[in-house]
Amino acid sequence: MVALAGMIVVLASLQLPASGQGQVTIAFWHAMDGPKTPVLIGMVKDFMKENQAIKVDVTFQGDYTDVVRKVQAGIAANALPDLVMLGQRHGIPNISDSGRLLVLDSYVTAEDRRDISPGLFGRYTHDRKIMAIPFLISTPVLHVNASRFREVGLNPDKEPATWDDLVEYAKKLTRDVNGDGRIDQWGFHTHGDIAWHVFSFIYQNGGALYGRDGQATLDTPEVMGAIQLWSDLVHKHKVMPALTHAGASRLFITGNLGMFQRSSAFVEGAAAQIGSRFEYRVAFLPKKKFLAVPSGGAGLGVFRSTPEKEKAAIALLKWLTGTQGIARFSKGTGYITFRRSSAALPEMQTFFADNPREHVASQQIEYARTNPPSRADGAVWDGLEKLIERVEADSNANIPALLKELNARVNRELAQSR
Amino acid sequence: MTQTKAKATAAVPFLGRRFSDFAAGYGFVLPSLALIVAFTFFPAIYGFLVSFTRWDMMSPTRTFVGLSNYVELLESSEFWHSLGVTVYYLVGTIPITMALGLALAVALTRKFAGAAFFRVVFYSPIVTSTVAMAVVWLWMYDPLNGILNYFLLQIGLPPQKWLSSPATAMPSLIIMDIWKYVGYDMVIFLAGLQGIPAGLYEAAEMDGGGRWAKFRFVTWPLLAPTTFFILVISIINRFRIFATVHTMTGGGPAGATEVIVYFLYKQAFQYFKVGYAFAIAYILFVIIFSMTLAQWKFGKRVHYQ
Repeated sequence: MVALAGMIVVLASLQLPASGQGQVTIAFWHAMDGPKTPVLIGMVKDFMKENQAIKVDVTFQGDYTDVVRKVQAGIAANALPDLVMLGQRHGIPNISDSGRLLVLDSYVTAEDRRDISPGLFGRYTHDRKIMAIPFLISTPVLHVNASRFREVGLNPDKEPATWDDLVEYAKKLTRDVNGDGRIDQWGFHTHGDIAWHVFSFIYQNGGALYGRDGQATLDTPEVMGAIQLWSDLVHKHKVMPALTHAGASRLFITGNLGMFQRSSAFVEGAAAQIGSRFEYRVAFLPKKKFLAVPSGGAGLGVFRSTPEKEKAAIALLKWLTGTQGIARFSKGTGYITFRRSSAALPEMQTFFADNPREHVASQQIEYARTNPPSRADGAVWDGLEKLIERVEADSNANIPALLKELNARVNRELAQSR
Repeated sequence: MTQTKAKATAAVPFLGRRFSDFAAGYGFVLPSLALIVAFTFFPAIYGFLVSFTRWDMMSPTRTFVGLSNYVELLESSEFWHSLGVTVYYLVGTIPITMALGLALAVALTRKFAGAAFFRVVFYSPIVTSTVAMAVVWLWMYDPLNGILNYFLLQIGLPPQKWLSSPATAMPSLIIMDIWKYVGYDMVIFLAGLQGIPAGLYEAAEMDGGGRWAKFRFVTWPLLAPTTFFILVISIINRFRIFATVHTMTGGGPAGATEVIVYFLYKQAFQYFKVGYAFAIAYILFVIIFSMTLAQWKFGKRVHYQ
């Protein structure tokens, strides 16, 4: 019994802040893995050096979906961090409605609003309130194997500008080099976050995920055209291997893929792994009716706690998302320099001159589209992923019927979630 | 009066002893009882209540919706699909795993040099981390760069899509599952085999029984309780498959491996329908509980001793 009591005392003392007077400790959950982690950690360390009174506990919580799942459990269990990295994929309306996130409108200055494209706030705005500040922004870009372009007689300085170009180039790039009857060099592929790449096809074709009334618009001719292109790349033109998106990055890095549609955040990692194997370039995505791309990435949100902790979390948030913070983070990771003042810094200008790939990605942000966060985002993501997998597996899949069914399903989810 | 007094004085040490016995007994069970109550009973009851609400686990308000989660579930083609996928997986994996486990047990129950080594080898996948194992199999199954396709090409067979095709994804999971669980079935069968008295085999030999006859008329019937136990445990365990699906296929492609627990997980954490997910959990509970009841009821009947 005494031992048990002793243990409780020891455990309780661990909960006490082990810090000096006036010091405040805040928890920060993030989703940055691989080579991006040290960049973020380095920034937080420098913040702590400048702000001796604030101690930050940084925890990696998995990918964006994992963070949302942990926040969901954290809300129920009342165990939340102070600062959180929220991916824009899905979940923001639900997390906002918990009432646990601090509304950030009053912390966004007029200068911030001039400096950051309003569309980027849109993805974090729920019920007209800003729930998170954009921190890392990416768009899908076309990663190009320029060496392979030259080999098949394509000019790498002339990027595919339209869907027709994309198909034509991809056909040339798809080859059976060793003559065993099996294709070993592919023309085009997308990364495993399928739904995001479908979004870009949909936007380029003039479609949208939701209408003005918030209802799903996935059964329109524009969306059908986007899915049809996807199907044709696999079945008709045979330039994209079906259902192998998980292995596409390796295919590109080993030099067996001509054009690879994946996030701009992949640039730094890809360049390091490719080395001198081939000439690696980055290009805009091609257009159909429009030049358009979805935006991705994550923002930073603050959970309500005590005034001291909230103040500390806001200070870190402002430091990370300020002019210097955005410049430093995008330079180290390949995320987009979306703050105009950051991009204008002389150091960024030098960086872009030395790194044309990052420059291309940063310029494409002008064509980024978003929709306000919807409660059906998770259902749309899951539904489009399944739909594409069915289309890739079956050349005779009835695309209009599948889209109609998905659209009805999403609208049913929307009706229920109110 | 004296009688009651005598009774009382006699009862004091008696009760006193009983109390200390109680205290010791409860003291011993309390730690695990507290954990079971906190992490099993409480969530189970809480979840049952939540299954009658519409709630995303985050909103401060929960809407009571009665049985509508259950109604929606039974009308949902996705639910029946995931149940079908789970049954496909059970039927694909359990009979083969048990047959191979039994064959290995019979082979390794004889004493020969290295028998212990092989027992350890076949059992080792069971004690390996499921996720680590799944990642390695993911590499082997890679349709573009995987070693399995390399071997197939070497011996002149066409390469397979493995986890990347709706037609072969579930068979691929089944192959891996058999590899993982065959050692478990083997160990239980080994224990069962050791419980069969040697005299019965001697008697069978005297009656002129060969190897097959001994297996058919001694081993197989006397192993029946073991076989039945493994069957029930396998159904219960396999119904709950999640980690391999989560790591390897994410339920895809096109829902081909969306087993029931993965379906539940997606409803709770991607669709934010926590009440609905708890309703799925309760249907799963009813299925698994009826398996357990079946074991209690019929488990005693399949005894020959």
